[in-house]
Amino acid sequence: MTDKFRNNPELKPLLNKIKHDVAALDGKALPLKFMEVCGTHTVSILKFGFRHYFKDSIKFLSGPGCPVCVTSACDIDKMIYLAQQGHHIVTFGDLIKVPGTHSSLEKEIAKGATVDVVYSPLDALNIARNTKKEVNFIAVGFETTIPVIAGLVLDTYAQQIKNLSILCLIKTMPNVLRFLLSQLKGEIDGMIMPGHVSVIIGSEPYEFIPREYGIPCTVAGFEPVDLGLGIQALVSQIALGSPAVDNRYKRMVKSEGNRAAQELISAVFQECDVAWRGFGSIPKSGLCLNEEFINFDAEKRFHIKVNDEVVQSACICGDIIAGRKSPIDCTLFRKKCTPENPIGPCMVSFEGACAAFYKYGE
Amino acid sequence: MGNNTILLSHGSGGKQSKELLDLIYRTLSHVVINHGEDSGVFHANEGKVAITTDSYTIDPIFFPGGNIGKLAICGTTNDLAMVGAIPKYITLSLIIEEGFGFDDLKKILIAIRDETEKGNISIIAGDTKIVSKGKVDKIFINTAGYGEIISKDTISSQNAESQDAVIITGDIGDHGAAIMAYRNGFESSLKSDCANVAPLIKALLEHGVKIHALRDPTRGGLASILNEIVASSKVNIVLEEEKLPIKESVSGVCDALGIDPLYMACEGRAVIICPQDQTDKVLEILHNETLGENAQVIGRVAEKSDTPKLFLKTFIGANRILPLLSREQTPRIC
Repeated sequence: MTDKFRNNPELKPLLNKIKHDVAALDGKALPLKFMEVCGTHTVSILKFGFRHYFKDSIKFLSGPGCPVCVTSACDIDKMIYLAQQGHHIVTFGDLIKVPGTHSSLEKEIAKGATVDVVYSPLDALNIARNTKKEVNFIAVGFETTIPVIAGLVLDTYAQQIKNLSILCLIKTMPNVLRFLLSQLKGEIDGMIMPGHVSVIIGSEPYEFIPREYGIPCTVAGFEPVDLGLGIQALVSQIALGSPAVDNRYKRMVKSEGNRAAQELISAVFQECDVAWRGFGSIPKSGLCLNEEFINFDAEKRFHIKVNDEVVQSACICGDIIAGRKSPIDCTLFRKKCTPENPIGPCMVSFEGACAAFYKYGE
Repeated sequence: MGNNTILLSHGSGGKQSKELLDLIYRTLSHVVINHGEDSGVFHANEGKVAITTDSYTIDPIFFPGGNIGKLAICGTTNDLAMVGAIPKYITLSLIIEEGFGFDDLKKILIAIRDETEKGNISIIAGDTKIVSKGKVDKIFINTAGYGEIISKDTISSQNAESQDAVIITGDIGDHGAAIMAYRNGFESSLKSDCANVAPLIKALLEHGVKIHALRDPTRGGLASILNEIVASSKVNIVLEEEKLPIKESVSGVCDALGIDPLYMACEGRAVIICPQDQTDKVLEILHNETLGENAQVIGRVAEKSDTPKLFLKTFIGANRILPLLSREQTPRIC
């Protein structure tokens, strides 16, 4: 697999041809601006050197595709509230370092809070069975992660586990892209759609992007050859003046997506408006538990109270997620804000743009 | 050993202590010298010698490809080998948590015996402490190593020179990936590369190979030790991604967890920095040994620099910096 998609002799000629094709584009301002929505793409683009390789022909902008980075400070405060009530918090690793308005889960751990970092949401079942405490799973993630979280809710229900609930901060892709494009109109020349999310939802939900905004789209995988083919598809759509949704990740993504996973999601969740860091509330851009499973909603069960407080900071994570700025535009980057002492969430998450820029040398 | 676990009384100096010591001496009889004396005594050779010390803690203590005992011996011998020394003697201190199983201790001792025997090393002094539950995590091992230097030239991280070749003796990241996969409950065929590399280094030096710098990429992995070398020698180093020997299973686990094999520990590899004209000879010697059969030139030392950096030339031919990272790598979220 590595040789086919990484160390492939056809890769360098392909990328070289793309460079020439970009230079030959008629009447287009260079560099072209491509947004990669997914954090894993941000990492691949930096890790394999695409940013450097295409520096005069293509500028890559990070989008809102890292679940940790788009979680608002207010939502972090909700986790901290639950931890302070003596609940047993179960979460993905990256979240513990993200600062809320006054604290972080990491700081709460130092004060004695019980927080378990898990790799699979289903680990929360075992934890809940072995404690009398209230257990709260912090449900963050996009479509990629949601089916497993749905599985957790269904298993909790079926096994009648009474002390397990979820803090539901789940977000979904299509409507945040609609919101973003209405703001960025004319500022981007192409979009690399999130490969993992597309495995679940398919490529159909992106059809409105070329239709309504005239922007070329490609669904791409994460290896250098995948990215090369995706970028080539965008450039040729621009050359032909015929924007469309092009799927270059067919080995994983079907146009209709994964029906079984979609059914699992709709059995447990329903659409709702949610708040995004940097954007505020966006209509129907997230999921909450439906009526049948509302009892598993930690926010309702424990009447979470957090202040709607805004802390002034020079952090520009919100602008970075929205594709308006790059981490190197931030005055805190590498100075006050480092992976050891992150000020904003984009420096915390492995897939955050700032952490990726920091790690992959910019 | 009616009861199968180690009790605090096994460290009391009384009858039960003897039971524990008997197990240790019986298992290690071939390799322990100066039985029962308070200090180890030996004849020192003329010439330079090297001393090292290290402590070993690992979770899990048994892992695919080794255990904490094998790790302790190999870690010590490798540290000696990295300055051009041939390991001769080792000391062994075991700090054991009350309740630790005798069977597990025996397995660890057998690994220690096999590794020292294979490396022609004697255990010259040792100690055992039993501490109450929770004071250590199962078992900690401390060692000191003594070796005789056979390298004519000084081998040092400060000696990398422009145009030198950068060679690794085998695949990258196996140990770290095996431990990560095991901890995260992945079923995999991954094994730690834990091994004593001193015989490889000995073979190179006995054939008169000139080595400028030598490091074992343990904690922090290849990228971290090369960052230390660029800083000490004030030179840039360029690695070539397409030449890095990384098993597909290792890059698969790393991709799934969102960690980078270039920063993952190896426990049986050495990075050799030598003049270009030594390259063929080095590879020929290494390829003759099982442990060195995947040895490969992975990059070169570039120009001198006051702000030296480690670069990676990626698959697509772009250069990027491999910085020194200070945070532990944690598994990804999605």
